[in-house]
Amino acid sequence: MQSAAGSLSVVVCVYNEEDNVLPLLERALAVLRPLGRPFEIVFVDDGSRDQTRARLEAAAAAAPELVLVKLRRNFGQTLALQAGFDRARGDVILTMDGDLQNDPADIPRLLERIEDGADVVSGWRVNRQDAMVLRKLPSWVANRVIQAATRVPIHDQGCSLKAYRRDVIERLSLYSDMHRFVAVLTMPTGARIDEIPVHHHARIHGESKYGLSRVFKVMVDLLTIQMLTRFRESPSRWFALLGAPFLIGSLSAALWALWLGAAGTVASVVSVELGLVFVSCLFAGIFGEGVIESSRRPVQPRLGVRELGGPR
Amino acid sequence: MTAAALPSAISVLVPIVERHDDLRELHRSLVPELLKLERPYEVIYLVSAEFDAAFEQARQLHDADAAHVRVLRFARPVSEAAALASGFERAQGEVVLTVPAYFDADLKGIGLLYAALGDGADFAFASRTERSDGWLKQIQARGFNRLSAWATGTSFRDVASGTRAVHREVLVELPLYGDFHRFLPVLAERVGFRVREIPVPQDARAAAPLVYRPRTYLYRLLDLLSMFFLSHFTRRPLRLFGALGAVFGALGAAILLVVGVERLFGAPLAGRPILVLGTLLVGLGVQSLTIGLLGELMLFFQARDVRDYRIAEIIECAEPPLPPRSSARA
Repeated sequence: MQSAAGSLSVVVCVYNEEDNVLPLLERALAVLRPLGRPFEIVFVDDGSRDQTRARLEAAAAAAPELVLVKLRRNFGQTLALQAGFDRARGDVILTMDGDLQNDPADIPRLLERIEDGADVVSGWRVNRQDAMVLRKLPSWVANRVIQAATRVPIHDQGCSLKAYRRDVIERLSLYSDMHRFVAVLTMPTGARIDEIPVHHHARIHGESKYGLSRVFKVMVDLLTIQMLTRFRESPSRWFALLGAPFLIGSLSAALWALWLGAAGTVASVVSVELGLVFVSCLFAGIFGEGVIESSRRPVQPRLGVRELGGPR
Repeated sequence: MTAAALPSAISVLVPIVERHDDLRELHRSLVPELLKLERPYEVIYLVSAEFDAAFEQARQLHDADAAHVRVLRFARPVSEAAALASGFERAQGEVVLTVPAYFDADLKGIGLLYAALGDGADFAFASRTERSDGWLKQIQARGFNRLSAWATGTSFRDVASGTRAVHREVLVELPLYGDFHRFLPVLAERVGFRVREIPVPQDARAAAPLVYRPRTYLYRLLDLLSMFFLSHFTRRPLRLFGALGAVFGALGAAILLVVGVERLFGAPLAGRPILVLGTLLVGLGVQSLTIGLLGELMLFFQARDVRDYRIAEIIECAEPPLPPRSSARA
């Protein structure tokens, strides 16, 4: 891979973090300037309604390394992150939270791992400073499920402090709520994923923007991510596996109907129903293969535009 | 982005796609309002194929004042969105006004809309607060607006109003096809523009039909349904279809469970038609899930380079620490 001391982009997405941005900037600069490698800190302001923008703008004069990307409105963390990635110019791209819960002092250790050959280094908040029931417990369960479903060996997906080699980021396009799965999404490209324990501080200023309500969303997203990462080359297999229990059910209902003979009307209807579900799963898989196949070829747009009436 | 002084020229688009009043009368009311703004202006009449009388009227207007009046005639019947889109392509003004081809919001409101653009809004539209077209019409309008506010998660009171003022750069970013023109304020707000609703009384001459054909209502409902989907689930189809699938699947599973437990206590399974309903619901759940997953798959592979965020501004020092990368994105 590339030489060691490449340039670095730190991407921080902030939304209403007026009390946190300046201390964060200060601490990050204190850590990064002595490293002796070119760097930039990209703050993405996700449509904050407080003083976040104004304070960062004021700080820009004293910090030439600061780049402030202002979004037009609040687009959510995923799109803000993508905006930051799109603007980042470093060979290594590092992300962290805007709420001071991550410690910039951990940055050099993440960079070391990248230099040791990892493509992705994820932080692991070993001593997590959050409420037990509302934050830590759901997160622990979610991480276990994510690990099992995606087979990505990371203990703490939710930790924002992560470092990536540029080329794995360039292949991503984030939407919906994928910011939680950036590390997982790099896996199909063959990225080497590493993990190190990092510090975690309790939130001092501002309010946490998460809640328990996201459990259903995370579970649904996980299903998507699992399909996209593990079966992206062969959706027909994924859908066939989904349909397999219905095939088994259908066959057993058919046997049952045969055994019942004339009294087996209900059983035979059930058998047909389950069979249809299986078939539609197969169709979905074939359709999915078509989707992938068509995305491989560059599509020549054939819009058939004709100019309609009027002077020009 | 719009902090600069008001751009100079104004283009007025008048789509003639559904009903229309006498364009000459409309034009007589419109021009004085435009003159009040003291800017160069053009009025473009966009005439769909089926309106011969309107085309004749528009041509007379063009003949009388060729410097200000342009007429586009479409070779086939077009939707309002398509008419607006091609009108916009040809509009020369930097501010574009759209005005219905019939008397609706009082044209005196145009000045207010234009002023709103100078006052920081990117998109302003006339909200027909005092309607003169009767209670039956009002109930329908209010119903539609309530539903659309709910479906799109916005709080506009008259989203479908056809009297609008828009900066040119806003229009560039809006998808104009199908029946989306009815939701332009929502679409503009979604890409981060500042949208303002200006109360304007309705013209006394407004004469909309009291009741439309049943098909029209069906289409409106379908529009709302697709706006609902587009507003919340375009980039996350599985959230919707997964939830639907979960509901169906859970219902089906509950039925199967009850039937199964009863079987343990001796009630024979074979004679129970509800077993069919149970499996049907489970099947429906799986199908719904499948559709959602296919949607996700299509999104992932087709929308790879779509960027849904919009940048207002990038602030950096004159000589950024890292130079731009020469290699473009893969």
